Amino acid sequence: MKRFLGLLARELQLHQPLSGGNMVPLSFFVITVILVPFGVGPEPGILTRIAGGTVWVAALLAVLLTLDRLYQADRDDGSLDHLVMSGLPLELLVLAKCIAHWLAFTLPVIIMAPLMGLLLQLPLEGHVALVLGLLVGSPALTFLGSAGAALVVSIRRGGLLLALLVLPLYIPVLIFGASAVEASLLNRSMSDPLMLLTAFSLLSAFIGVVGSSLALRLELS
Amino acid sequence: MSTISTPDPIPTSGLHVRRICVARAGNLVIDQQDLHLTPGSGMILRGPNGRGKSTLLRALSGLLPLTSGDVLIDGENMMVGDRVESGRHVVYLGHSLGLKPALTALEWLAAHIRMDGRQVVEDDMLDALELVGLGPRADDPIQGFSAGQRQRLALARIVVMDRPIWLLDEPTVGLDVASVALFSKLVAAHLQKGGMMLAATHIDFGFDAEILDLGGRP
Repeated sequence: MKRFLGLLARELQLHQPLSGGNMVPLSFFVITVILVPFGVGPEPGILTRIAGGTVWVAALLAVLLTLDRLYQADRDDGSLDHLVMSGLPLELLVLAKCIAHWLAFTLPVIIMAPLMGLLLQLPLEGHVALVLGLLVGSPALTFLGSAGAALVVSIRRGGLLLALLVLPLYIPVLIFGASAVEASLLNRSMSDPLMLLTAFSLLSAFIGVVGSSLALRLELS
Repeated sequence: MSTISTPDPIPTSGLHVRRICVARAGNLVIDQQDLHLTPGSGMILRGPNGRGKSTLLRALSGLLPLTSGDVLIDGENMMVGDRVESGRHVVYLGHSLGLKPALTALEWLAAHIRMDGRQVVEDDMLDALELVGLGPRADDPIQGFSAGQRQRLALARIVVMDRPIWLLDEPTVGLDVASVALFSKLVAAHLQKGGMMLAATHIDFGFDAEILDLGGRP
């Protein structure tokens, strides 16, 4: 447990929350959302209807943007060796890296999401569904992305390949996330899509942790 | 097929490698290699490039799977599956140093100690940095370090990790004459305390160490 917390501390220290590098994905998220009204025009009805989906797409792209370096940075400079030799099982190593990554990159995006919803004229009840959906659904993005990142760890410029691998897996998250927002706008219960999102996140956590550690073990051979 | 009799008693202390084979990309690079290190002794790996020095060191660190063979440390079998789970006993220094340019020397060492599940004691880290001649640069970001300083910082990590067995791959790359002498002193002190060292290097340290020649080109 001490090793796990030690690794978590190291990861957060390396991600340097609130530093310049950390702001890039967040800025990407903001700019992507801002682009949409320019593309579809300022009609409030249209914007309100697409707000949930737009914020979700922008959020998952922003998360994806940062994932390719999750293991590659450590592999390239040799510190992956140190991590593996720390005696922590690879599964826990993956878990610690995913948690730190989520805290450093995804959480700021979620905090920023209501502001983006406001920009797209999303009503208040939609915001609740949006933020709750992101909170329970975004871990799936991190964990699935982690498995992809571990697979392409040795490939130069593997980011594009990572996107091809992982984006199709993000589709369920997007569908349920957007439908939670839509349900709230139509005054229907949003608990069904939220529960499905939670289930999908838990499943992804398992697949992501096991898949990532298998892929990393393959890399070390 | 025990055609080779082993008359020695079961070794209880030190590192004992028995007939290990390691393959890289389908080629058997290390074939039936034996290796014995007793506490307080060092060994130098020699052999031309591509003969498997790095492969052997990585395999003993658990970073590469073995095809066959056994590794015992202090009489305990280290094999878990096809890997050597030696992290508790071994510290490895490879070609890639694992340095994080954004951190200071102290922060980087502290991160390793925390990952080891230990309490960070700043004095220990400062002592180690002093030993490698980086005392005054403790709070500087690694970004500004020269190649030789980076190598010395990596050596400071070896010291603070406090493991009995040092596995070093070309530990003196980029070091000037004075630093090599400093390194020799570090190793001598480690062996004096009953530690062990296995190093792949082409230079002479100026102390007695057994030499394991991995032979000519395969």
